[in-house]
Amino acid sequence: MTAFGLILTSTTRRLLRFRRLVGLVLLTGLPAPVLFFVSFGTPDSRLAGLYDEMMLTVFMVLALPVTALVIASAALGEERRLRTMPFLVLKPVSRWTIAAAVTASAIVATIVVGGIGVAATWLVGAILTGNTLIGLPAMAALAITSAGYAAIYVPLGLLVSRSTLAGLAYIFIWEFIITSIASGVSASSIWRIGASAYGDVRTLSSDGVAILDEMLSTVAVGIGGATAKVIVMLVLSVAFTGLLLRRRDLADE
Amino acid sequence: MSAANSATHVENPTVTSDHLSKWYGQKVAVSDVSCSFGPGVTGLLGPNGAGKTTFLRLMTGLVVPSRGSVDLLGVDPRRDPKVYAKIALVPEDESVYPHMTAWQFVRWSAAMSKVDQPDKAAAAAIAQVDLEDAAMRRLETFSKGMRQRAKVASALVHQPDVLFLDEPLNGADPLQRAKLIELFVRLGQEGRTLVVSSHVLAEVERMARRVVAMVDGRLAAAGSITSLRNAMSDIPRRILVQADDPRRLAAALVAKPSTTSISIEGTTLHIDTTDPLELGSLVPAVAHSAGVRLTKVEPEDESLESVFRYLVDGR
Repeated sequence: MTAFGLILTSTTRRLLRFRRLVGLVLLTGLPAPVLFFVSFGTPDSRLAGLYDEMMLTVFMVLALPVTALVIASAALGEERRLRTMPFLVLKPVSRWTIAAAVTASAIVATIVVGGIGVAATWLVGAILTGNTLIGLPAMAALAITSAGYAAIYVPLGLLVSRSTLAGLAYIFIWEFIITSIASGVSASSIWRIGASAYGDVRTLSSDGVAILDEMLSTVAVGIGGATAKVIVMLVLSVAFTGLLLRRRDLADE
Repeated sequence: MSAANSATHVENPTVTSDHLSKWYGQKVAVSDVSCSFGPGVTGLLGPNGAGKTTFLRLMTGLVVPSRGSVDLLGVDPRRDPKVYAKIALVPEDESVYPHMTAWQFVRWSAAMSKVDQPDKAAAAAIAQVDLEDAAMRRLETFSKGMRQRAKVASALVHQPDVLFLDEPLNGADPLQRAKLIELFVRLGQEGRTLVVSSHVLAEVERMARRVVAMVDGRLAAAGSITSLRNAMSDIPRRILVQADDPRRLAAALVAKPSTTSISIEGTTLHIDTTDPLELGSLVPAVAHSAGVRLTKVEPEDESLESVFRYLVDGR
């Protein structure tokens, strides 16, 4: 196995440790029971819209950013905090390879954890609506959003010791407030990028279209554009993380 | 004593630090350390907070020097990570990857270091530190001493030419300490460069042929234990004497030019001298003429402890 593969598998396993997994799976799976209970008394014609609402709001805006933050900031941050960094970086492997592999691990781990939540909600949504493909947009959005957040949180975890707090500040200040107010930068909001992919994968319910219009503001729907943006972010992030690994102290005082 | 002597550098060095400094804000962790290391075991001594750990982190490229440079097998490790195929660090911290077994950890290190047969290499490294029975247990279940041994195995798995060990005997039981010391001595005899930091002086004496001492982030001394003591001509040496009438013996000895000071504890005299040879020959004669019977005469501090104490307190 290559160094990339070795780091990818080892870091993913570390990020998916049981103790961390339980809380995050409960968080990402939250829309499933909410959808189930709210569906009682909801007309059948509105069930698909209810599903879209759950995924676009509870999952995409609340559960996924927090899950991605916890996982991705731990990818390198935990190595530093637990003082295991020497085992990773004092190896004949380029810093760029380490940065790329660790970022990939964060994406995979977030997709695994988020995927469990999406699958649970997909199951409930499919039972309620009879549409077995109802979960596909959320899966696509999950993949794109996980990558986008990893691009931000992996270097943040290396840079800042209180990366969870810093990440939460990023979510609320940048993602929720600034990008909502300033339409010029709303296209850089990661959950909007994910939502734009969500909207492109299937024809939304009328309720879903309304919610998405409100969420996206000036951001155009389109999975191609969303993917391209995330790829650019990942390239920049890996370059920056590699640079940090070369230039910064990798052990605390 | 000045550390800036020829003993700070060795012939054919594998590792060199040149005016190496590291500071964190106002705190200076390592200050202007220039020295080199060659094949064999070198003890890196110093009290807690002396800067040993930071120095080893600088040498391995784990932290960036504030000033100065490191030459590790001819390269700066931060610029050329390929050198890590030939070096290893056993960090002081207890931390290991909790999700891995010892076998997975050592095998992973072997594969990351691009060892040809990682399974075989991992098995050999684990055997070297006597961890075969626990190899399939998760590292999080290991005691501190077992974790240390797992880290040593991980460091040895690619047979590095240069090995930095930061307090590697911490937590190991006496038997394992003895075995690890034996292992380090053997690796040194094979021509590998080992830099072993410790504050347990007796252990360093058992494995190192050369010592580099750090105090307050500075290089305080370097050389063999004997040469260090010879170089420090002004250091008082201490001789322990037991006698049936210590006060009378002390009164007779205190006027002698080679006696610096005398303290009495029960029947024991602790005599500080600048000339232990002369005093050694004087004591029996003085005791005889004073009518005092001697029961024991021996050098009290022919150990690194005394050198160390002098370096720390005498500056």
